[in-house]
Amino acid sequence: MTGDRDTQSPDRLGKLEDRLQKAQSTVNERNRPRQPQSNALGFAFRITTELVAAVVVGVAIGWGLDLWLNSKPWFLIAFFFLGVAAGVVNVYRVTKLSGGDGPVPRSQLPSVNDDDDD
Amino acid sequence: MAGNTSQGSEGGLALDPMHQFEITRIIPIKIGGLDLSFTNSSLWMVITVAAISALLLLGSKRIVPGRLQSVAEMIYEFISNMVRDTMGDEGRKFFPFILTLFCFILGSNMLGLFTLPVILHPFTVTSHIIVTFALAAMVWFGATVYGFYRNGLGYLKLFAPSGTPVVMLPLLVPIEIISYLSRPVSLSVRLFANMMAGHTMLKVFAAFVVALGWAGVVPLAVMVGFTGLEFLVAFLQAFIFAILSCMYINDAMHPSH
Repeated sequence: MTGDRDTQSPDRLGKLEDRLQKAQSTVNERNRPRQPQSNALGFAFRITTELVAAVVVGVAIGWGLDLWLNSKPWFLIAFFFLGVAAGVVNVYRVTKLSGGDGPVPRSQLPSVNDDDDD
Repeated sequence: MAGNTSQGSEGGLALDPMHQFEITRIIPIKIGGLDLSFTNSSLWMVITVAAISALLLLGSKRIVPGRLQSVAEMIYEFISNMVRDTMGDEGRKFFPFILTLFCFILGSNMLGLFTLPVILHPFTVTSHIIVTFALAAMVWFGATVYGFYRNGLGYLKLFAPSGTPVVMLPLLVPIEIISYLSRPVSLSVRLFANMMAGHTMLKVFAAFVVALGWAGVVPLAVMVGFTGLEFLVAFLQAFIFAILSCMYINDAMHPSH
């Protein structure tokens, strides 16, 4: 019994190695960061809500400040544009996070400048 | 819209796809000036919590899982991985919260898709914006309080990204504050709009099946596809809500972008 095992041990070790590697790769696969968006429509809808929500919040703040300070319509105008800007910031962050088509996060860019392109 | 056809006035088809969203009082309760009635919405919240609790707590605990146990284990592992991916090991303490949130949203999204006999109309809790807004506001408020608790006033750094020139601050800080305040709005609107639009569409197409007679086979086929899509949307929206909550809590832990 023991001898039998000894003669086969390199083979068995190799198999074990294979299985270990396979297990490791599934673990790696599982730990890989996921893409939150899997379909384009949902992604488009997400971007729209981000944009609209920021504009709505901006307008609400401006309107509230105008009511409070009796300064119609200046805060409304100012905060409308701030809201639009915040919406664009939101959309930029969403596309940055989802990777793929969006711009690459700064942290992932190579730290050394390669001047090939410019 | 087709939904405006008045109910039964022409003796024809009663098409009212918004009827499913109506709140009805089951047990009227009035305390002071407040209407705290137990409504169909409350009933379905209770059903959701009961169903999810039953799935996760009362299921069998065999080594080789059956179907239901597999579902429970998959949900647990899925959320566990998501929490680890987005918040790291520090985020473990928020795992129960995120799991509860995900299960509640997933449960109510899914239960709203099932059709039960006439006594118990299916009702999608998450198709009302006040419900999704309450959930989103809870996440947002909790993350904000935790951010200040953990970082003190340093949490305000979230509104002034590092490396910003001082000249730009008066413009950037309001933009960042609006962006921050818009989080619960977009979070709640996304879930609510997806649920409501999907369910309305299903009802409209279902009415076409009846209205078109034998040609109703065509919308019926479309319905089959849509129903599958709605199950996907129900899952995806619960997932997006949960992962965004994770990201907001992660921001609260590490305020510098």
